[in-house]
Amino acid sequence: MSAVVRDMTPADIGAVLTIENKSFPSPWSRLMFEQEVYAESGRAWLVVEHDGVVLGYGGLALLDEAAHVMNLAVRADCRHRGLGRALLAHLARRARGMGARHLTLEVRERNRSAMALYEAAGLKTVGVRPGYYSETGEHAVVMWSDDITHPGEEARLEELWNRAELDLEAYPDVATGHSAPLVLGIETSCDETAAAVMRGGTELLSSVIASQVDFHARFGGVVPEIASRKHTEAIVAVVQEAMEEAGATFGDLDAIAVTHGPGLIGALVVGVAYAKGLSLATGLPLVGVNHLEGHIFANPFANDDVTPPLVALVVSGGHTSLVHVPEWGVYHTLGETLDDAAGEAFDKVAKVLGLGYPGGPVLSSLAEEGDPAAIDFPRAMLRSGDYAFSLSGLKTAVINHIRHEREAGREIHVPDLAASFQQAVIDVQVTKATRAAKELGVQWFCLAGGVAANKLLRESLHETLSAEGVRVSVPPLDLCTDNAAMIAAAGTWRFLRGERLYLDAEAVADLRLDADDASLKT
Amino acid sequence: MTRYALRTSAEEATVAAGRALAPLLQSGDVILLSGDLGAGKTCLARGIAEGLGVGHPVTSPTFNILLVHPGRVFMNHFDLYRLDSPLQLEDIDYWGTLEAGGVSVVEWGDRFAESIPEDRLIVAMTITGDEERLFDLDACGGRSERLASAWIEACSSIAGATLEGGGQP
Repeated sequence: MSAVVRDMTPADIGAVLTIENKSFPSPWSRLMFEQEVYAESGRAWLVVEHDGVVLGYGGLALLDEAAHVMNLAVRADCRHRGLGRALLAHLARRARGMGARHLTLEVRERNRSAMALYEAAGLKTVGVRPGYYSETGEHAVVMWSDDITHPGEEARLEELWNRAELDLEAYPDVATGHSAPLVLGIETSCDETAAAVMRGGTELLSSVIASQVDFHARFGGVVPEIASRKHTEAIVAVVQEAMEEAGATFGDLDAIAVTHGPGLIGALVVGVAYAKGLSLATGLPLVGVNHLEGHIFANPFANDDVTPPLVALVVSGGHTSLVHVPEWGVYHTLGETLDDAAGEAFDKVAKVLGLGYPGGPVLSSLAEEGDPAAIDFPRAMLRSGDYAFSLSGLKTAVINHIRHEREAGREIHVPDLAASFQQAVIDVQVTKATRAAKELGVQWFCLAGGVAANKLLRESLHETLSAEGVRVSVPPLDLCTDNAAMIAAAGTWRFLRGERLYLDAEAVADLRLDADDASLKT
Repeated sequence: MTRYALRTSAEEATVAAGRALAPLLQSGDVILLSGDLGAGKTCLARGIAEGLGVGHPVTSPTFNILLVHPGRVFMNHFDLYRLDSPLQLEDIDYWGTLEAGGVSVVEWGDRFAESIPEDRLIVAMTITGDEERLFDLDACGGRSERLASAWIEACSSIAGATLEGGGQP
C-alpha cells in the first residue's frame, strides 16, 4: 500500500502529537489540534500516512483571502523523501479550492530546509518578526505567495503537486509496489444495478449489470428500474456474480469503489450503504466515485493512449456536460444543459412520434432513412458563445411542427422528422465540442454516456475533430451506458491517490464533478 | 373546490407566472403539474425556482425523478413520468419527501390517483398555440384554494397572462 494524504481526524491527534513533540521546542497541545480539527470551516488539516501509520501532518486556516499554513511536520526518520512537499502541495490545492488567493506562513530563520520547500512552492520572504519564537529567541521569517489563482502560480503549484505525486510513488519504503490493486466497483446511481471487478484499473475481470439478459435468466427476472427496492433486491446477487466471474473472494480485494453521486438519491443510497457495510465487514478501504467521472474514465480504460489534457462530452439520458480535464481528477465543467438532457430529448421526441418510451435508439435508426435537411429545426444556443446547451425549445419545435402538419391534414414523414431533429441536436453538440477542443488546445476528445451509441454523433465528432487534429475516443458501447467497470477504473485511480470515503459519508444526489478536485476526501 | 383558467401568450409569461407563485409558497405546499410533453411544466417549475431564489438553472428531473434545489424554502422538483406503477411512489419515498417539508413541484403529478394529496393544487397545462398555453387550476382544500386565488391575483399584472372566466365555487 502506498503512502496517502488524507484529512486529519480526531483519532489521529495522538500520533500527530508524538511527531509534534519531537519536532518543535514549544509544541502545540492536544486542545490546539482538537480546535483545528473540529473547526466548522476555513480550515484544512491533512495527514500523510502509510499502512495506517501517520508519518506527517500539516494544516492551514483561511483568513480573508490568505491561507495561513499553521503547522507542518514530518516524522524525523521520514524526512527528505518528498512527504512535506506532498503535504504542502495538497494543502495548496485545498487552499485554492477554499477560495484563497495567497499562501502565507512564518518559519524559523534557521530552518533552511523548510524555507527551501516553501520557496519551491513559490513563497517569498517579505519580512522578519524579531524574536518571534520566544523559547529560543529566534526570528520568524514571514513568507507570502503571489496570487495563487493566477495561471502562472497555479501552474507552479500544479508542478509541485505533480512532483509530490511522483515522490510518493518513487518512495520505496512507503510505496510497496502495490501497483495493480484489485478493486470492486459498484454502481446504482439510477436504473442499473451493476458491479465489476478490475485489476490495476485496466484489466477487467468481470462486469455484471442486473438488466443484462443472462443475469435475468439466472436470477428470475429481477428488473431493476427506478425503484430503490429493486436495487436492494439485486445488489447482493450482482456483487456475488461479479466476484464469482472474476474468480475472486473479498479477501483478494484491495478496495471497494462506489458511485456516491450524482443520481437518484433512493438508488444511490442502496449502493453506498451496501459498500459501506462491505467495507466495515471486510476492513477494505472505500473510495467514492462521481458517476460522471466514471463515464469519462471509460475512455482511458478502453484506450490507454488517452491522456489529459482532454475535453469530454458526457451525454446520456440524464446528463449533457462538456468537461475540460486538464489532468486526471481535475474537472472544469465548461457547459451543461439548461433544461433537458440530450438523451431525454431523443426519448421524449420518440414518445411524441409514437415510438414508445424510451425510444431514442428507435428514433435514431429511423433517422437513417430520412432527410436531415427536410425540416429546419432551431439550433438552440449555437451562437451563444458559451458551452451551454438547451434542448427543451427543440422538443417544443418538434411538437409544434407535428401539430401544424396534422392541422393542415398532412401526413408526418417520421424518418424525415427524426433525421432533421437528430441533425439539429448533433449540429450543436459537435460545434460546441469542436470549439472547446480548439480553444483549450487539447489533443484528445472523449465521448461518454449512453448517447455515444448514436452513430451519427460518433461519426460527426470523428470527422470534424480529426480535421482539427484532435484525436477522438469513444469507448465500446457497453462501457458507454451505465456500468460498474467505469466506476472500478476511476475508483482504482482515486484509491492509488489515497482518497477514501469514510463511514459517515453519504450519497449526494447533486454531487458536482468540479468540486472533487478541491477536496481529497470525496 | 375552486377552478381558475389562466392563459399565457409565451414561454416568458409562463416563467413569470411561476415567479409570481413563489412568494406565496410555504414549506409543505404541493403543486401538481400535468399536461403533454412540451406543455411547459418544467418552464413553470423554473419560474417557481427563480422566485424561490434558486441560483442555478432548473433542469428537467425526468431522468433523476427528484431534484432538490436550495432556495428561500427548498424545492423538491419531482417528475413521475418514468414511473409505471403507484407502488414505485413508495420506492422513491414520495410521501416521505412531501411530508419532510420544502415546496414540492410534481411534474406528471396526477399520473396516479395515489400521488394526489387531499389538499392539492393541480395545474393542468394545455398547448393551445406555438407559444400559447392554457393553465387550468384545480384547487381542493383550504390551503390550496387560498393559494390558487392569491396566485391568480398575482398573475393579473403579468404581461402576456390573462385570466379566463372567474373562480367557480
